[in-house]
Amino acid sequence: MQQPIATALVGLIVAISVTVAFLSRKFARSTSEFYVAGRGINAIQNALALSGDYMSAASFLGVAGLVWAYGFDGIWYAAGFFAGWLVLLLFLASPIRRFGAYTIADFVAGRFHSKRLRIAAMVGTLMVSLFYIVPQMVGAGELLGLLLGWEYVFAVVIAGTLITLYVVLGGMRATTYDQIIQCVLLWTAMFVVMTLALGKFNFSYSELLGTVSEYTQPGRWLDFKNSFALIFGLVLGTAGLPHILIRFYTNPSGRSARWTTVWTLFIIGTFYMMTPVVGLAARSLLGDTPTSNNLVLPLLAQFVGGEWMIGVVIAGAFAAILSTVAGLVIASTGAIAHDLFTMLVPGASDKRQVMMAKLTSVGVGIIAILTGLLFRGYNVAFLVGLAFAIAASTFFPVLMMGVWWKKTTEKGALAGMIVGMVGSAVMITTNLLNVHTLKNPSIITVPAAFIAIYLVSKIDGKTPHDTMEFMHKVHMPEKVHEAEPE
Amino acid sequence: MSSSKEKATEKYVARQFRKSFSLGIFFLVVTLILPILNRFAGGFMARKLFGEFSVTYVYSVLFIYIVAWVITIYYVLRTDREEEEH
Repeated sequence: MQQPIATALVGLIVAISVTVAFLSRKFARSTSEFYVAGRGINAIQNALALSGDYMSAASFLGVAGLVWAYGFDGIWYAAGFFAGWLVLLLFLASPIRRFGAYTIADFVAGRFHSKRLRIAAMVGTLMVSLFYIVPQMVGAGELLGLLLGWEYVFAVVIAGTLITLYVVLGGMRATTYDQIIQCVLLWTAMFVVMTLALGKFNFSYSELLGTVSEYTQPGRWLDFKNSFALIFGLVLGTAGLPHILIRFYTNPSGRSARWTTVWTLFIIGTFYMMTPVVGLAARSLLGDTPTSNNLVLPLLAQFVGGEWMIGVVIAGAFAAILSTVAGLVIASTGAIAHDLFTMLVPGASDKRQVMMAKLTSVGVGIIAILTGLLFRGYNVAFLVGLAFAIAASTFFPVLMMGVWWKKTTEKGALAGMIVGMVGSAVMITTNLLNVHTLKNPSIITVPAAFIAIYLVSKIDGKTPHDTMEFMHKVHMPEKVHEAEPE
Repeated sequence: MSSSKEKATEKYVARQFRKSFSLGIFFLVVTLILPILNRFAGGFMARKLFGEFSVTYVYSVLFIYIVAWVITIYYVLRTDREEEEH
């Protein structure tokens, strides 16, 4: 063992996570408990859990790594990951909560009464979630390698098994409590490293910037086109992330969904403000020594605080990874076990559905481990940025139009989802194969999906018969609904 | 659904949309203008605002956050009030 203190700290975090999952096992008996924790979670708890869910290896390790590597161009990721929340709050948070369903597929199927839309949403959810899980596995593998000197393959398998285990044990209730603990931990870890790092510059942010001034200017990595496209994709992508959207169902009301978002914006905002500081401090203090940009933060921690600090940071990173993957597994489990299974086996008992959900969690866990092995060596924030692009293109247009435009039709929604999903997948693949230079396709695929929904709906003209009931349900305050006889 | 209820819903939805849309577009402009300013007003954006902090750096690590927080608080308080009054 290379770092006993650090390893012990990480072990402690893992033990706490598993214990919490185990203790809350008794809550995870019905389907509604498994997916959305029985809707009994308050705004601050939910905000902490959402932040833990959202801030993954990409935010914790990836952004600092990109800032270290490219300076200002990495900061786009911090600003974009943060800014997307406002779009979510303004347009989707309370309507999604008021509709009250478990998954995005439930939502679009409920709005348009369509099986094929349900399937399209399910496929989209799986695509986004897997793209999001891959970087977490890459991060986990690299961290365990650094900590224990383990081989990457072995490390990914162990990390993946552990994560799957506690999702299966506890469902969403367990992950909610875990995500709260993990959020506090990862935020604190980032704060401590930042403070220690600033200490090397007499606690002067300005002095730090002075030592790396060429890194505080844009253009070391992204040209104008790509920086614009990136920020566009990140800002709109948050509002299309299945594992974030399903969290809004755990709020008791539309009002609490809004307050949850307020708290979340403060928690993650303060977090993302710290990431450029540690990234630039790493550039200044470590120079070119880190061999992988995903490991810049733990190496900085070791430099400024020794083995205890590297332990705290790796524990924080594991917290970020565990909480995010758990949320993603829940989302993709929801897609298969809830959306697909209940469609294939109508009237399946609650118990069978829970069983199916748990089996699916295991399946998703295994796929996540295998894909993690394939994507070794990629920067984790860059990879997550691609998941955002798919989410922005596939879900954001259809949710926006479905929620706000009463003339949206089933065919229009389907056209938009297909254009967004296929378009973004094709453009990402062709970019990775160097066919074109646009790294983030949303700047083209999001408008294309909106146009597809608009045009096809206009031509089709067959709006669902209960559109106004839907509008009434998702937009009117709870007070109005309570005053009405059902 | 009765036509009066339908009208009331439509009116309420339209009002909510106007509010969200204007705030949303404003915020999108605030964020998306940064790469544009960096591209077309690079000299100004590179100027030091105070200490070693350039205009573009302060914009990206502070200004965007403050604008988002202010919009958030404004939106949530206003929406809560509208729901109370409704």
